[in-house]
Amino acid sequence: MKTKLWAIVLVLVCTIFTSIGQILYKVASKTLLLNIYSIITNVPLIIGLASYFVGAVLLIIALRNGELSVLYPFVSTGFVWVSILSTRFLGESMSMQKWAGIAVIFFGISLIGIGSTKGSAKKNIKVRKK
Amino acid sequence: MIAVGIALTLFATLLGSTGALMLKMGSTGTRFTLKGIVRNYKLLLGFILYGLSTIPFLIALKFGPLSVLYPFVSLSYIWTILLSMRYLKERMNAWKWMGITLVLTGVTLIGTA
Repeated sequence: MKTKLWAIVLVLVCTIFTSIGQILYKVASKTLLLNIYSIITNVPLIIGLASYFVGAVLLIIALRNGELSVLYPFVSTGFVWVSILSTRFLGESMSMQKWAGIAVIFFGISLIGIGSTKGSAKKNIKVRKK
Repeated sequence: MIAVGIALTLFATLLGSTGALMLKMGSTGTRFTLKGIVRNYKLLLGFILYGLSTIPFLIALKFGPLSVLYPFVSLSYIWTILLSMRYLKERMNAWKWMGITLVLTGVTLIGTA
């Protein structure tokens, strides 16, 4: 199965939703106690879960149209959005090392994107036989 | 205590990767009607596993700093690739392996910053 470009874009949108979810989890964890009442009445946790739900639906639609081994690594862009969002909303600091990590992730997913168009040597042989 | 955090994080990544595999398996060949989705047990299972995977990680964060646990989170990419090769017959190539190595490096860099 060839991975469609829009499926990759959809995974990127999905990670934005899951990143917002993670920021809300962090907010939630500050007041969260491990009992049912505390969990179901924690508003940031509920909105965070809803955001995760939207992200998962988008991921399912994307997965229909591409390879898991290509699309799943793009989930790592979530780390990029979380780094940026936590600087903006949680008052965490950005460092050179985080920027380096972001650059390396983008470089990595670009290579995976390129790799998804290449196929493997074995696959090419199969195509030729057909 | 940090070992408990790492163990919980590893458990979370296994749940997440298995969830992703189930989502992929469930996502193909299903019509997107309510009936089709409700009857699709792989999709539902994937959904539940993917969602539940955050819970052990949330608990893990109480046992250790994020900077130590993050590199272990990135193992989910390795599990997912291994599962894709084994159960979906997807093929890797040098580009994808190089890319995934960089992704692991990047995630570790961010996590330990």
